[in-house]
Amino acid sequence: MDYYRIAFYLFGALTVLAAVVVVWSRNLIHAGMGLLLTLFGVAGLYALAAADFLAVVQILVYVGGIVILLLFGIMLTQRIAGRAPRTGVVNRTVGALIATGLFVLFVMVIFSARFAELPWIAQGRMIDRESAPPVGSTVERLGQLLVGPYLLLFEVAALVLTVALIGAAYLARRSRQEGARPRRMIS
Amino acid sequence: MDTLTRTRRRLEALIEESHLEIWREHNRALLRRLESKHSSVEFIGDALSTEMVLNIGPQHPATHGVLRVVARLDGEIIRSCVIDIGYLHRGIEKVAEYKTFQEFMPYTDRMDYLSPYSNNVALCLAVEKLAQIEVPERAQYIRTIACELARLLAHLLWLGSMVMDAGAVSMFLWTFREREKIYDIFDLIAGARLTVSHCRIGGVASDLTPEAIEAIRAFIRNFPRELRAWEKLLNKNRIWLERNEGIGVVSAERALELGLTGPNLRASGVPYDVRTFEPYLVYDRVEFEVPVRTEGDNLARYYVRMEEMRQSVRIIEQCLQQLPPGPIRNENAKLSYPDKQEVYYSMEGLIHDFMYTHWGVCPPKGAEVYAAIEAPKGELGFYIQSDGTGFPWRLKIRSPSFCNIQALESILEGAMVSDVVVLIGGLDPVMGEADK
Amino acid sequence: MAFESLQPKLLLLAAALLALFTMAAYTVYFERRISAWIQNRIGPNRVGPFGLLQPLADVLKLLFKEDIAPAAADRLLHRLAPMISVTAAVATIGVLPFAHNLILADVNIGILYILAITSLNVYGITLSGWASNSKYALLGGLRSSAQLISYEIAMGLAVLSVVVQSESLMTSQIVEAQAEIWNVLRNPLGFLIFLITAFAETNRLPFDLPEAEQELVAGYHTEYSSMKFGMFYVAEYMNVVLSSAVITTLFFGGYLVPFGHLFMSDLPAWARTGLEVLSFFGKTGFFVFVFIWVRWTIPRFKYNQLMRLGWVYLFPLAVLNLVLVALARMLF
Repeated sequence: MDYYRIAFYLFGALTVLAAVVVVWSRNLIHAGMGLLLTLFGVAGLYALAAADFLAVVQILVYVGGIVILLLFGIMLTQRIAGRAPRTGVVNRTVGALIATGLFVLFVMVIFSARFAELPWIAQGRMIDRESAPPVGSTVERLGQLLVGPYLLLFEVAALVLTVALIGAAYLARRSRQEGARPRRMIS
Repeated sequence: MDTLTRTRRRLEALIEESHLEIWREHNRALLRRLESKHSSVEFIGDALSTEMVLNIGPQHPATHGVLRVVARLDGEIIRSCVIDIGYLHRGIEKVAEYKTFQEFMPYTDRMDYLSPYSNNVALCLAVEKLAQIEVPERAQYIRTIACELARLLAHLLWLGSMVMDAGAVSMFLWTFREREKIYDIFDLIAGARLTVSHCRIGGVASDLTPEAIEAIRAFIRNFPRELRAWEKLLNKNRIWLERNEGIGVVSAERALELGLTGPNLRASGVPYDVRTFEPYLVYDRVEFEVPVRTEGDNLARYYVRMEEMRQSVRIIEQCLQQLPPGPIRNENAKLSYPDKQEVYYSMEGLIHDFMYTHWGVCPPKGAEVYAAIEAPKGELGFYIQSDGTGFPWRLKIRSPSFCNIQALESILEGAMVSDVVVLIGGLDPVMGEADK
Repeated sequence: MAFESLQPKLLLLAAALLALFTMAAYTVYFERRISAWIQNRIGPNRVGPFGLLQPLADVLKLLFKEDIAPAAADRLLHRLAPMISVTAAVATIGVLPFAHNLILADVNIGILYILAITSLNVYGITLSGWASNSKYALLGGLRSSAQLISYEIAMGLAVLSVVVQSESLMTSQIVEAQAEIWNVLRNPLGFLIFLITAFAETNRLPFDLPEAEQELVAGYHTEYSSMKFGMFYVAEYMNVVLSSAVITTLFFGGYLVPFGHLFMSDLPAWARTGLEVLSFFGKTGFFVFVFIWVRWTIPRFKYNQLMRLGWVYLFPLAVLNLVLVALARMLF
């Protein structure tokens, strides 16, 4: 077994096990940490697939995101000290239905896709890693694709994010003004 | 569920949550007071309200001794808070009733332990007024010099600790180096560095030696330069200015209502200083200014104290120039301790010494007096009632820190957690004096 | 990949780790000596000559202390948090070029990797704050997460301006691009912004709000003792060293020897490498000194001042700087 394979299985196991923690843990903070590890594992897999830029951006983006998630976890649980924030189990039936449906859907998609027969996967199998020329930087190509053929999509995504940002700022602002009124104080 | 029940439940939950094992009743009362401040607080089940009750002190790095603040926080902002004092209460006022006036003096050293000499002087002035004892001029000058040195001592600690509370630790050591020099001077004046007890009723214990005078001269020559260096570091430092500007504002009316005195009052725009208002010792014979600012915020308190240090140096300079020769204690051996020479070599001296130590000075029966001085923290007053014996029938101390600390609750509310330490530093309470 | 081909890298890794840990330990020593010097004191001078063995004694002391965890702490995260802090700090050395061709992994996205890994540091602090089940620690942890996230953006933009100038994300190429003129001269505003954000990211004064000892006792590590505390301590100083190294790499020509082109080509290879390593660590050492110097002079920010500085001043400045640098790049 070569090192790549060992690393692949390690990252794969990390991803899956951490995902299990996310689902099963009832402690919000633990679940958040599990999510971080999952995304970390996926980043590792990206790196193994020579998508170095994607791997690092994955960490960079999600690290900040999950911190916010953790903060909400801390703040949404009313008792800050003294008790672990736990989630309750609600909507068992609907949840089970959705989960089963999604599972079936994914399995169907995966089996109908026939990955092994895809041309670029088949090509990739032929390459001998030891002798292949090193993969160059993906950054430049990614950048050219983003401002070239996919410019419209890129800009739309940026617009959506901007709108989301403005919306968030508006919501936060309004709730602060409400807080300024003596809402919680009665004489 | 009505508001009251909800509040009570919340309170009970709070007490359960905080694992308060010691002084359950005391802590319960404290939290109840926190709950009942201004209005009863209704807790709506807002998931994002991050209120919590934070206990700061009595063991905390920045509460200047054993001050305790219980604050209700909303994020970093203090919504309401209560102050808990008394952790250093030693019953000094009661102790005084079992001591002769002179015996009581060492206890006053331990009130405002940053300026022990001022406390000694305040007690002596009260007793002298009560028993109508004349104090020779030279002794008055020595007392004035020592009082101003004590003011420097106290303000230096205030400066160092307040700047350190804001995060600049080096300042603390720089001011302590200067304090060390003053302690050395006190060693030369009184033979003790911290608990001097150098005053005697009717004078002082020992004369200034030439060495001591030289040491004081050297100190006041150097000190203004140090002061300028510190001001250079702080007065234009944006972080420092912004951390102090506009926080902890006390208006002049509010300051008077709260009974603030000293630099805290003068920073609010009230030019009240006992030294000019009712001059004692030789303050009417020296020229100095009373710095006043009108902003009433923490920065104003900083400027006022910095300027006061400069004025103290001026006062000491003038006192050294004017220092007259003469006796240092009242010559009447019934009113003041006789000289040690006399005690050792004459029978009358020994008897007087014995009598004075045993019975002390006996003010007239029923006499009462209030005498105050401008201590570094504010007006330090002694109110004494006499029953004609050498022991006070009742001795009440009006300590400036105790009164100044009352302002803390009102200026902390609405401030941020980071402000707590600089605000406490700016008010500059000494718990030894506040708790007595 | 065979083990043999990894061997030189492993040796270099060991050497780099040793250097980093030693530097972190001696940064503590020098911090104490320099602060003592600033404050008219003497500082540690008892253990070994000039107190040089003091770090060793400190570590021994920490190792032998009792490891206390609060009763209601989250055991797992309480233990994990300091490890995250140290790991995030150590992992940065992977892409720092110590000399020409002397780098652990000269990856294409080196500088992004540094940003990504250092941003992990926030977890160590936030989690320790939460897991300790202490209000002071929690306040410290929350402060730190807000602070680190806010300053990361300005820092990223400052780094981006450097990337625009050197047209590469590779740390080695960023250094080589400074052969003619250091980035600090071409991009002084970017350097200033990066320096400030580096102070914020390492939680050093004036940005040490998460541990603000006068307000929050010790902030996020209030409830830590023994070597768990030691790990936070080591992580802090490692971050100082590494931030200095990154500043050196990005703005001060990394391992490039000043005026090296005048005489370097005549020297044998080992001497060149040696000089370059010396130059790298010398510059790093200077910035470590700056970190210490600032810490012992300036008071601490308040939370709202910190946020205002980050968002109202630094962020627009960083954007402006990026635009300016890009324009300059286009025109010249």
